[in-house]
Amino acid sequence: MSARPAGCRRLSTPDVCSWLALWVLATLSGCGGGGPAEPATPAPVPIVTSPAANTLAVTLDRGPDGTALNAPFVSVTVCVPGTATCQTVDHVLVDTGSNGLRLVASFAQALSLPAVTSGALPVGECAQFASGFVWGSVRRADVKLAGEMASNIPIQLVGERTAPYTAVPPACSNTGANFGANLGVNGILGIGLFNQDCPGCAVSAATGVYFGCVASGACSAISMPLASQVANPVAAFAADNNGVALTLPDVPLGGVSTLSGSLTFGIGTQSNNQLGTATVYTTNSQGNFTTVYKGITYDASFLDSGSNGIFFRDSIPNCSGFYCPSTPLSLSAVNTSAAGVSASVNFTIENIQGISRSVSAANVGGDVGLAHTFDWGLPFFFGRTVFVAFSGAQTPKGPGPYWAY
Amino acid sequence: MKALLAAALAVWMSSSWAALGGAPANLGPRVLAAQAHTGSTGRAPYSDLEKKLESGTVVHEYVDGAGTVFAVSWAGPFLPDLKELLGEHFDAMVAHANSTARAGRSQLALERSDLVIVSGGHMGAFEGRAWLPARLPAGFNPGDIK
Repeated sequence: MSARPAGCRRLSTPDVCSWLALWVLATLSGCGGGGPAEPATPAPVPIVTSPAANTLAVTLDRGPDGTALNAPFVSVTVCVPGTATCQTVDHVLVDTGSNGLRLVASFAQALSLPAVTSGALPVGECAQFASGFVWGSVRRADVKLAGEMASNIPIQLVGERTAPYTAVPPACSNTGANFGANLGVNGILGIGLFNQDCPGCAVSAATGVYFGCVASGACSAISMPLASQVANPVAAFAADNNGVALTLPDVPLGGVSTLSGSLTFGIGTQSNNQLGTATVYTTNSQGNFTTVYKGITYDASFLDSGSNGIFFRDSIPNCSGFYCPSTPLSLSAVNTSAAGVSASVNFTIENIQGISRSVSAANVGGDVGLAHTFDWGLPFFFGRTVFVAFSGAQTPKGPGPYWAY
Repeated sequence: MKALLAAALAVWMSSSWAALGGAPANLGPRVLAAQAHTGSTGRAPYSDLEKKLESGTVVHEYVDGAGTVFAVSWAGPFLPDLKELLGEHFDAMVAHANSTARAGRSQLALERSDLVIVSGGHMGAFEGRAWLPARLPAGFNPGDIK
């Protein structure tokens, strides 16, 4: 385990490292998997052109309900638009696999955020995830992350039980389990490849995602213009808005009880978010690239910090959804971008049954049992800086959407 | 195999509810393709009903010679009406999803001897499949599911 600050592992210039080290010490945020940060060596502190701090501390722990594993958390502040009436919510999951901010309603209810409407009807949303859905209201808020702010953007409040959002529409409940407020997290910060959460909803109501709700609580599916959809907050910043970089330290066998990293806003916009030697992996319009593993091609492969393991097909012994090999396995796959750029990735899968209940970060995975999907979940991010370039945004290495690492 | 295909389509046209374990589901879609797979040595015949939903998601239902759906799959930007598609097995999927670890649950894999349901992907690009192991026609491998 390196004692260096986590944020420095893959950034190339010493100046950036020193600056990050100073920042880490200044914010009293531990770094390097629970170990103390190494004192910063004297070095010139680079001039940061924007006064806004563009880095948010990321922490892995056991989460609000004590069961979280491989869940990267940040704190998010939401405010009534244009006011100083705000609420800070901790343990919000950083999710590169979705787009938009969703908070468990009880954490923001007191703010009485203004409802997004369609015609005169308040809008509810059924946000779909592969394992279930969340239902709740769509409201506008100023969203503050570190020193940056997205002004007056739509967010979702999950599990809201007040009228007219009381009843989950059948078109929503028929898609799976209702996670309601029982998410195991206080919110989800979707900072994936796209600026809004449902491009298809702009042209069709058949998606079953957005609903207009009458006072009695009956909600009907509607289409929703992009400008009113739940939005990726970072893409709505005034600056540093073309992507993010998620940096986490390596995790040793056996896992660690806490882990600290960083979420940096912007790509190539400041000295602390340069791409350096990172390789760009462009995606298709769905946000996927291709992974070849043990001779089989998976054309729906993606990087998902919101997945708590690496999920892929194999015949490794399986224990309740996670692999449980008798000894840790060193595995390899080849990722290929939509543009044909290709390189191998080495990764480790260890026995879920050997992971202590106190551990919050470990190299684990499981079998998703699907023909096209290869889900590079959070363990992929260990020991890396992973860049997420937003769709249509310009960066020093071309436009998004792409992943780079 | 035209008779089998016709039978499967007739069952589908007239079905109200059922899906996995019963007649094909009523998803209100248009049928993109209905392909009959003939039996060969060691393989029983079946039909693959491919439907494209209005949401853009494509659903497959695999129907045996008796008109019973023994496997389904879905892929696309939105989840289909899984209650309709999975029929009586929908509740088992929901119960399984609610019983697993919460934070970071990004996929679902219910694997019982009598029922398999797997679901994965991410917002805007989902993929899933389900089948009844005991009802698979002779020679049909779950890997044959598209």
